[in-house]
Amino acid sequence: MSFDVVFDNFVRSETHIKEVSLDIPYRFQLRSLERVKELFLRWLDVYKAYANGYRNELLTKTSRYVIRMLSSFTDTLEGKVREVFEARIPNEAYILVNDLFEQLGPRPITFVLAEGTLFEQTSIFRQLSETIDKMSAPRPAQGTANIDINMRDIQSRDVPVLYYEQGQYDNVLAWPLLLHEAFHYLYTYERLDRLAKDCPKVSWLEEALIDMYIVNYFGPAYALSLATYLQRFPHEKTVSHPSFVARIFIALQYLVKVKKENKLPSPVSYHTSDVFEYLKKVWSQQKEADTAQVQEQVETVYNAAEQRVIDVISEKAQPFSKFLTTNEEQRKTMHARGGFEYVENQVLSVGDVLEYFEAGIPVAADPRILFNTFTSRKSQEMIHDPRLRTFIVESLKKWHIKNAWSAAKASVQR
Amino acid sequence: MQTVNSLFVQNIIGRITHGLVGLDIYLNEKKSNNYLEDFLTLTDVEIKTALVSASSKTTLIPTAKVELSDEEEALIRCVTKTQQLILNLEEVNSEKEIENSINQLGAKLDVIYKAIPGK
Repeated sequence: MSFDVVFDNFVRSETHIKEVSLDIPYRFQLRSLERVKELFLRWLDVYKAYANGYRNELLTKTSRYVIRMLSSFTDTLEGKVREVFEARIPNEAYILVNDLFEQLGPRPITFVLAEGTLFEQTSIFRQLSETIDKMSAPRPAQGTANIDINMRDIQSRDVPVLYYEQGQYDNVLAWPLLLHEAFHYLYTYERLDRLAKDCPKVSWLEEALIDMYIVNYFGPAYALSLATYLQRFPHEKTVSHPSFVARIFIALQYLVKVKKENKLPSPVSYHTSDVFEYLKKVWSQQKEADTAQVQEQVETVYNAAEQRVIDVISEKAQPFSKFLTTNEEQRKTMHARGGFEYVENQVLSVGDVLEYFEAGIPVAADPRILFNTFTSRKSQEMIHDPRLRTFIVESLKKWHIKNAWSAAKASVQR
Repeated sequence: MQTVNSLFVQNIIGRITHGLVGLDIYLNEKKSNNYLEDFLTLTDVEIKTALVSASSKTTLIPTAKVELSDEEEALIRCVTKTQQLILNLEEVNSEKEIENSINQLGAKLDVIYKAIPGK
C-alpha cells in the first residue's frame, strides 16, 4: 500500500500552517505566534520523519494501520494549530498575561493562548512529546535521524501554551484564571518549590501555593474568578489537585487577612467584603464531609507559606495590598502637584476607573486595578453586559500602548 | 467534565500500531524488534487513562472519573493477550496465530480511534 496519500496530507497541512495569517496588532504577540508557527512546522517534520521510516520498512500486512495512524496524527496537529490561531479570545488577553510575565518573570516570556475545554497549561514540546512518548523511531537510519534534531530544536525554542475554557473566551472576569496557568510556568522556571518549605507534604501543594501566590499578587479579582469557576466545576480531589473546599478556603484565608488588616482603600475594601460574602456562600453550599480536616491542612499550608509567598512577590513586584497603598500615595502626590499630567504619568485608582467606566471611556489602568474595579456585587451582575467586556478589552489596549510609549520615550532619553 | 486528551490517545494509538508493525516485521525476520518493545511498554492503566481522557497536563481543575464500556474493556484484554503472545513468540509454531493476532488487534483499534471525534 502506498504512503503517498500520507505525504500528500503532510503537504496540505504544511500549506495550512504556512498560510495562517497573522493580523496581530501587538509585536510581542506577533513574535510569539510566529515562533509557534515555526514550531508547528517542525512538529510536522517529526511526523514526516516517522512516515519516511515506516515507508522503508517491509510491511506486508499492516501498512493500512500505519497510514491511518499517521493521518490521524496530522489531523490532531491541525486541531492544535486551530486551537492557537483560531482562538476567539481577544488579543488583549495576551496583554494581561504578558503583564504578569513582565512583572514577575525573569525576562520577557514568549507564550500563546489557545482555546480548549479547560483552563490548563502545557507547551508545544510537551504536546508533541505526549504523542510519541515511548515510541522508538522507525529503524532505517535514512530519514529518521531528523527526528532527534527536530525534537531538540523544538525543545530549545519551546513556547508555553495556556488554554482557556472555550465558553469563557468573552467572559473577561474569568481571564484572571489564565494567570494561574501562566504562573505554573514561572513556578517551574524560577524553582519556586522553595515556597513549600515547612509546609505539610500534601500532594496538591503546588496548586495550593500557586493559588496563594496569585491571590496575593492579583487580589480579590482572582479569588472571585476562582470561586465562580470552581462553583461550576466542583470536582473531587485528585492527586494533583486539592479539593474544592481547600481552594476556596485558600482564597478565603487571604480575604480574611486582608479584611483584618483593614488597609485597603475604598471602594476596594467594600468590594472585598462583597467577594468575601460570595466565597463564603459558595463555600457553605459546597462543604464536603472532610471539611474540618481540609481546613486544618490548608490553614497549616497558608500560615507556613504566606510570608515566603509575599517575600517572593516582593522580590520583583508588590503584593496586592501594598501595591494598592503605594498606588494611592502616588495618586495623591500626582494630584497635589496639580496641573497638566501626561497620560503616561497618570496614576489611577479603582474609584477613578469606575468613574471612567460609567462615562464609557476606557483607561490605561494597571490590570490589577482594572480587574479589581469589577469585583463588587453590582459588577458580578454585569457579567453578560457587553459594555464591561469592551471596557476591559479597550482599557488593556490603552495600558499596553501607554507602556509601549513610556518604554519608547525612556529609550530615546537614554 | 469529560474531555479528550487527543495527544495521549494518539500516543496509545501509536504504540498499538507499533505492536502491529512489530508483528508484521517479525513474520518476515523471525526476530524481535523495537516496535514490539514499544508495544510491550503499554499498560492497561495507560489505555484506561487515554479512554477516560484524564489529561496529563497541568489543569486548573481535575477531571472526573468515567467508567469504561464493554468494547473498551475488550480492547484492553486484546492488548494484554497480544502482549502475552509476543512474550512467548519463540513458542508460537504457526504464522497463522500471529496473523490472527494482527487482525484481532487491528480490528480493536477502532475503539480507541473513536475517542478522537471524527475518526
